[in-house]
Amino acid sequence: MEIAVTGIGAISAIGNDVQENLRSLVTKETGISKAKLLGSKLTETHLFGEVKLSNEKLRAGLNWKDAAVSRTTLLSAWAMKEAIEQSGIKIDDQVGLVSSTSVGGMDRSEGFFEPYYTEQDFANVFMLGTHDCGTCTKQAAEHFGITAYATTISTACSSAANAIAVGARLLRQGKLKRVIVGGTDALCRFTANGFNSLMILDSEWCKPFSANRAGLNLGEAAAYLVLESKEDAEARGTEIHGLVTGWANTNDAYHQTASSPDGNGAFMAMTQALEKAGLKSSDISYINAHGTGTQNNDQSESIAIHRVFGAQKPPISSTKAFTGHTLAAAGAIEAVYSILALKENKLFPNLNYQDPIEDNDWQPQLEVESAEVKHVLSNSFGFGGNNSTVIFSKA
Amino acid sequence: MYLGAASCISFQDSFGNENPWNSLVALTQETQLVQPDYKEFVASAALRRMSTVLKMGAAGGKSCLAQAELENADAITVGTGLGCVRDTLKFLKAVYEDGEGALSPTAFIQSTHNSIAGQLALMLGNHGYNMTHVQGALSLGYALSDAELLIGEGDAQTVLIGAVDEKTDELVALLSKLSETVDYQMPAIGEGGAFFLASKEKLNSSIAKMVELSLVSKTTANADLVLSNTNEGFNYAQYSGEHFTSIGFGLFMALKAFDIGKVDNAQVSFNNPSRILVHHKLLGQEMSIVLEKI
Amino acid sequence: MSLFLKTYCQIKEGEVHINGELFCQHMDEDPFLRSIYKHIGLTYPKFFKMDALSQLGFLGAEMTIMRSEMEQYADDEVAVIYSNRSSSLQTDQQYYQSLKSGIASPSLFVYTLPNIVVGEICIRHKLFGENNFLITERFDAKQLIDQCEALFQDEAAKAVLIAWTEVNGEEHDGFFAFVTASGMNEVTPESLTDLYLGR
Repeated sequence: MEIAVTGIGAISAIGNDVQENLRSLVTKETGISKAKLLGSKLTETHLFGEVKLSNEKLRAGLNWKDAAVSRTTLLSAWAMKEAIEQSGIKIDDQVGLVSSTSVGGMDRSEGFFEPYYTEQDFANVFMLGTHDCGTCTKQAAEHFGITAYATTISTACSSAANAIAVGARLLRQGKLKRVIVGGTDALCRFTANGFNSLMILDSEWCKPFSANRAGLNLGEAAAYLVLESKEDAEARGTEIHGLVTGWANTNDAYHQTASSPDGNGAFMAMTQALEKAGLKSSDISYINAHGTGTQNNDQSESIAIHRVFGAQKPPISSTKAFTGHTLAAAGAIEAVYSILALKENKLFPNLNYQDPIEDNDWQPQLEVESAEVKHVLSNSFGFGGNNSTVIFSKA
Repeated sequence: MYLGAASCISFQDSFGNENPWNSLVALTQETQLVQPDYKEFVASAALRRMSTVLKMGAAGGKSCLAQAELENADAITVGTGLGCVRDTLKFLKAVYEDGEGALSPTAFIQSTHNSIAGQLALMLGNHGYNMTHVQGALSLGYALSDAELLIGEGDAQTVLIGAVDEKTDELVALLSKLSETVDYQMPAIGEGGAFFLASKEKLNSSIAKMVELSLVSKTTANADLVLSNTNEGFNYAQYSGEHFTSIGFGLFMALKAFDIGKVDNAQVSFNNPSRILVHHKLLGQEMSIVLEKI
Repeated sequence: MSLFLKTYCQIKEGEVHINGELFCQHMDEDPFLRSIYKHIGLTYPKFFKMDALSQLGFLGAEMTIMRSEMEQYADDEVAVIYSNRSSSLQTDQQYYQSLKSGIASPSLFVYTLPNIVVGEICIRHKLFGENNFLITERFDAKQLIDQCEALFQDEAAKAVLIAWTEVNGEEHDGFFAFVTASGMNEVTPESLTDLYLGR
């Protein structure tokens, strides 16, 4: 069964919908700046890829009555709405949701934890009602009337890529007729401080794949794709934006957070995804890399890419200097960008590139360029050695 | 999908126990997890820093594979409702008490939901598919579904499936206060970890076939033995305590029921069931698994 | 003469602290030094040929130098002065054992000199300045600071990586500091000793 993408939705630091995201990508306008909504001391010293809409604006735009909802859920519903509306699908008992998040409702729970830990004050304990990841997905599913299947993948930064794979599998085995897949994560003090304690945040604008890169910028985002069989999409006469043709998830099994020097997990993920897609490495028109801007990832990923593609590499870029590293949402927002690359026949640039990494025989795609884009390979690698690759192909 | 080798750490004497049905003990205020000697499964330096979920993951996963007489599984899927509670709260406390300074990177690393599955992969040198589902009381259900789909796609022959959740005194206090705000009668909270080896083909260790999995309701299928956390059958949750993945204990007991065959004691009586339904209903979520003896 | 501290790092009791902040703890099944190597995402296969003393010294140098903006110095303007109490005793004993078993191990023999680690660091970071290894009873901040001062006064260096690296089985006592002739945080033997003692 060929898996068609019939709807895409996105909200990130560079746009509140897919069109705005695309416009920023082609005008090379980054969304990384000083955060205005995140209440963390780290906003004084670090830059973030913050979504420009407040929770109030998100709720208003969604007509979301219940105040007991986290930003993570609101972002996901916002992007889901765009994807569902674009696809024109009706929600029935053949439609499922495979979402993903790493923070869940932590952004809202922090409203409880602050007075609780600083003053032993339990006043806001009711905020914990939306804490766990499952509840965030459940609320979004209920908002759209999705009842048949709703799960949450939580594998750190590879989550959404995994959600896409799980969704594709559900369709292929006839468990569902349509599935909405993607991921969401909102900025919160917990993750900002967590990454800071690992000393992998760049206090300046991140520089993916540059020799002098100094870490990542955190971002928030949500993005979803509507998947259904190509046959069904054609029967419905709906626009097919692209196909999901390959996917793979492997474990690096090297260390809890760092990637192996030889990029083993990444190498296996890319290789297996190509195999599943029935493609050769030379068929890939563009790689949207994980490229977080950390010393470790960019080095390890570069080595893995070289192992798979050899000297004949397609154009490669990381779009994280646009959006920041959006954690669980990364695989989804970058899936949307991969689909846009296919639709628009455009290559998106790797911003803020400075000097080449010593052993790399390539430099990233630096400009927006028109090109024939047939197959895009997207990488998402997360803590816990979780390595995922998804391949998208022209419809 | 075949199931057989299973390992469970719970409030009952379940770990390494051939017949946990004959040693069920009612829970009291003082009940603690009956834990194995983790040193058998984890090197001491790592053990020092690990929270209960991580320890249960390591011991449960490894012992399940040992029972199945396998070095490794092709894939690992884990379901957890709240993930690593201890480390999450520890890190949060540090963020707020120290005003965003002096934090513990270890607590942060270990707090990510997939650290259980990730750590197993690390310990086993397992490069296969590695997934974590966090969907409240349906978490194990989705981990089972994922394994079934993976096998169905031909991407794995064997999958190690886990269901883990831990509790801490602080968590119980928070849940208690939260329950008060919504007038919900909180059940006795439990914790535990259960691991299962699922396979495409029948293995020596296989005991049953999963013939039905519902992620929305209690199936209407007939069964010789019903295990449920409601009183519509043998209530396993009164022995495991209630938590998002307490159905893991139920599934473990179901497999042991097939294995042992006949049990006749003060708590329960059954005679060679050939079909068992395991059911869980909690906080608006409901799921059921139907197993057939092979 | 005023001396300044740019970065300091401590590897001790299963923990690494950088500039006073906890950076990582031993939390996996690998030996501690290997787990640090992995944690910082290092790719340097030679690391696995080194003995424990060199591994400790190498890792401390790596984490310290990375945060010290070394690009501003010419390759002969950075000196390296390491110190410890037991010299390469642990490796000496391992080498002696290998002799007794009849097979002298050349790869072990290399590490029967304490200053080999300094050589490894200079190779890795392309440092062509002065280097030295002192044997002292205990961590001697005064000697180390005096040596830095002498180098700065002679204009033989503009920055010095100083360290104390003592290993005993799985016990590690590593302390590293990047000291400069100009900068922001003044350092004295007393203040450096306080940092070493965790005060």
